[in-house]
Amino acid sequence: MEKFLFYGKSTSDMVCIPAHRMVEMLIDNNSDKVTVHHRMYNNSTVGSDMQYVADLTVNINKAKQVVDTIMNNISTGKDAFIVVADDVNKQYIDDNITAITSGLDDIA
Amino acid sequence: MIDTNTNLSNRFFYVNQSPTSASDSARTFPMSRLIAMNMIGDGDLRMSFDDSGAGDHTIVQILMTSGKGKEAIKDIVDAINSNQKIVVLADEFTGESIINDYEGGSVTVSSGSIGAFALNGNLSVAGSSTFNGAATFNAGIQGKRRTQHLDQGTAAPTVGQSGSILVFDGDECTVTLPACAIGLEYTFLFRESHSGSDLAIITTAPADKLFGSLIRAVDGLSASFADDGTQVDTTTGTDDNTMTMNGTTKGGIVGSRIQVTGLTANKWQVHGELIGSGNQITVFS
Repeated sequence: MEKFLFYGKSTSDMVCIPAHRMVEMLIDNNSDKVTVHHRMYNNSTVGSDMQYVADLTVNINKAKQVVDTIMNNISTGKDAFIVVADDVNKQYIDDNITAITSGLDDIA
Repeated sequence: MIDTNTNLSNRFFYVNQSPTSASDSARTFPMSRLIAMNMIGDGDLRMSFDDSGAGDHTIVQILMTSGKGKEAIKDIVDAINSNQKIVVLADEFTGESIINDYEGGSVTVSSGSIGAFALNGNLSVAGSSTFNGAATFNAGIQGKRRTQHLDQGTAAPTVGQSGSILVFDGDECTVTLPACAIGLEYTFLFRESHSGSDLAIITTAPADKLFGSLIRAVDGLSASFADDGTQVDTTTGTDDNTMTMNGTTKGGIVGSRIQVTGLTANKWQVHGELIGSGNQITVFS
């Protein structure tokens, strides 16, 4: 099964990335944000800028739980289409995610 | 990670951006080369694929029903995880698509800039570099210029050495310039004085000529033009294609400098300052 991570900020701002392109998840020092890094082309760049970032706002001190949930879904989940965060439908992979922090970059 | 049971290299996406032909302008991508799917506007799906350019990608744009981006992306994910060997992303000619909300609208494939490569960080190259195309340095350039010591009997700087400094070391040396072309430039510095039979000679290819002036001077403050003072040595290229410096009457004392620059085919512009001694005579012949 080829799994994909879906992030939707709005109907005109969403991205879906093969899960194997996720390279790391960072928890900020307040434990209220998870930054997911993917290795792929970013907006209007070629070459070395291969970092595509999705920031997730999460409940304070729940970032580790969010990371665990994402990891578990990628490793053992049954769904190929993994909705990490969908602000339009308020659908999140973990209840502790409250929003995608900022707009997603366009891939151009 | 990719499930080892899923081989995406032998399964393909097909897209046809021609509304009038079943195959003109059609493109096929292995599923394994899919990088991402991105909705950048309502009904505007962009799919990014690795391509053959260095650090580059190709974008497939599919216009579809507005507000159905998530459903469209899921349709594609489902197709990837099906058993279909060839998945039609969108075919403008037939209107076919794996995306349920594709309405037969515009399909555009934009190849990346072939070979384009952007580096957002610093670059350190341990070895030498060759730029076969034009190079632009928007923030300026700094560093030592390349040098070549003229300590052999002959020297023949190449086109690739244009821009470098060639240093006369006081040894006899005849330098033959390459065939003249606009933009070529060589700077000659005299780091030691020439004397006796140890001449410093700069000559051109047979069809090329020299045009320009050299300031000629001797040691000390020169208040007037004179044979043994300051002079201007000029050539207009009728016959001259050689400069000979002997360290005395034809200049070539340490501190002298000559620059030659290509004006066009067969025409070198020359300027500089030659320091000599005694009554100065022309270096051009």
